[in-house]
Amino acid sequence: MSYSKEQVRGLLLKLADMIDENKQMLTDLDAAIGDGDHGHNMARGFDAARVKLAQGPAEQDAEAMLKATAMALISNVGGAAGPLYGTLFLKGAATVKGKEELGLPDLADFLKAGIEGVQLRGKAILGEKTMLDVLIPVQAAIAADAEAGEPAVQSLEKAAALARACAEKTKEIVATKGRASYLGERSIGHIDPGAMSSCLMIEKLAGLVKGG
Amino acid sequence: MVSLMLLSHSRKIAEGVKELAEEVSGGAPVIAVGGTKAGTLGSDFDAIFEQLEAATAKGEVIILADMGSSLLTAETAIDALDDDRKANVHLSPAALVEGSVMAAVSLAGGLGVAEILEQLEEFRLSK
Repeated sequence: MSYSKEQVRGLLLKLADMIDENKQMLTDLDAAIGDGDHGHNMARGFDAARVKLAQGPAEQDAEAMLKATAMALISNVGGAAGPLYGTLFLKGAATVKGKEELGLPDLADFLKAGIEGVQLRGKAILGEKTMLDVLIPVQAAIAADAEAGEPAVQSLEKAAALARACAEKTKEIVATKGRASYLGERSIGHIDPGAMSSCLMIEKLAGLVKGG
Repeated sequence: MVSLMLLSHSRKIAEGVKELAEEVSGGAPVIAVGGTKAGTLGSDFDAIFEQLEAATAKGEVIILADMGSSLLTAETAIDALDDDRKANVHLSPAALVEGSVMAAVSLAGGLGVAEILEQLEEFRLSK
């Protein structure tokens, strides 16, 4: 995998489309244990990102595009996912500064910095029924593959399956963060909507990389 | 000058608490921001950041917020401030209504930021 800045723009636009297609499903998951707006909030944020990406100069580098996406999410999502995903993209963006081509090790670095930002912002750790329950294991797997020199397509295919399994596993966790924590034990049996949106993004990325 | 900034998911809550705090305190400087750009329940980063920039230009700011995205958005807005302004912002974990009224009364009574923050600990919530 080696991605140019033009391909990064395409990836971000396709992530935006994917979120739009899944907004009702994400909102429904959130309605079960949260305040029922995750999908529509995320779609509003990514719609704003789409506009910013279209407005940006064609020579914009990957860092600028990821930063623009981050700011669009922070400014337009309106729920807790805005600062959280915004921080993920913002901290991640800094790691691709000055890079012309992006590969699997860059994705591992992007996610590592992004996750650190999310943890700082949300004060959550692994196993608290949040997006981190998908992102932390996926990042670890990708980083290990990158270290071992594994091709990106295979690594991401495994990462997508891992992301899905981890998202499903949030069903078993009692929520202690966010609105879902008010439900306590009753949050069991429901997938965390943030874990699901993170899972969908990893799956989409895997699909796009595989498809060339 | 010290300002009090109140953040809520709801514009009505933010403005209602502002009304209460101003009236009880007899006119402490209170800024209220609530809801999203679209007028729905949630947080508006741009509005919060704009108010925070204006308030920190005048001095210190004590922020009280209701929960979840209000707090996360406030923290994100503080992060986005110039470094020399960040230290002038104090995000309190106190209950929004009780904390805001107490802080406004104390502010109008001439208490300093450190004393007010200490008083607010009495209304600390785990948010």
